[in-house]
Amino acid sequence: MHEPAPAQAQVDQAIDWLVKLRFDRPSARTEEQFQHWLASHPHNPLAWQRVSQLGDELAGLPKDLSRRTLDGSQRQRSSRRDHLKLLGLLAVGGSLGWATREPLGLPQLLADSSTATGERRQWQVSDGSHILLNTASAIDLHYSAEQRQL
Amino acid sequence: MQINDTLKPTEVALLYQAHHSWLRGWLRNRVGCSEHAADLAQDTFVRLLRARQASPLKEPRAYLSSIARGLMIDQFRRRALEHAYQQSLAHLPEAEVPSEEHRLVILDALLRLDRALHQLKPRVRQAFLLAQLDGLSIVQIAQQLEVSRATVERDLAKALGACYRLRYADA
Repeated sequence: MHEPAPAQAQVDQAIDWLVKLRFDRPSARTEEQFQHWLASHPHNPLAWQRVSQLGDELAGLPKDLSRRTLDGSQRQRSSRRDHLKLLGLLAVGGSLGWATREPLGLPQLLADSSTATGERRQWQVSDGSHILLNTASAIDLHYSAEQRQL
Repeated sequence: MQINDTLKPTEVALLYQAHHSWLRGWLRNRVGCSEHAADLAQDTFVRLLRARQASPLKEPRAYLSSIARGLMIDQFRRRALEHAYQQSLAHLPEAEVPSEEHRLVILDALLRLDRALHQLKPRVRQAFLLAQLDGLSIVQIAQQLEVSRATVERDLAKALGACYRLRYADA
């Protein structure tokens, strides 16, 4: 990086100005106060340059396409989370017919043990109980002397 | 970034020798593909070289696996977003479909935006998208979300702050 980054305080102030100027209809007085702020500290112009460039980039995103993409991605992820909740209830000893479109979804990636599609695994855990993990499932184990959480 | 708040390369090399094959195995159990696991293990050590961590690691495997977990989540989020992007592009009338190059620029910006928004509370995310993409005014957003004007302003500033940090993080 060639120029030193502006301090956090300047960036925060610049962001507050961006909110006032871009997302609201600023009054002439607001504009005037902004110009005053800009000149009041040697680092303010750089902070403003960066922040307003970010604002321009965001404003340049195609709105409909961006909205659909972000919402669609969020939906996909939360439907995976619902699967995960379901798994928490049904994974042990159940016959669970959860098939993912991809070989492994997030739940498996994050779990302590997991199976791929078409794989079943059975094992005994340290408290003596047996676990059968059905195809394409995932499980997290948390033990203590009093309780265990799956 | 200062050099002296990261681990020394020699230290990372030792960690690599001691834990690389363990990490590969750990990842293979999770991603189910040894090539993919090998790539992620490499990426984990690259990340470790840049991580701000001055003192030697006390629990290297826990630390490595937490980096690797983060990488897996990033990848998962990325895949979900790319998939949604392709679907959304398919919905566009032909005249509105951006050029190949522009498509990648937009995707890149959306990936960053998605990561930034993910760190925020749902209300903050919503307020920001209503303002930025739906063009609602602060007053309209305040009404819709049933919060005060000042809260909406704060939410927008918070969201922009998260975008800023990602945008200029490793410039």
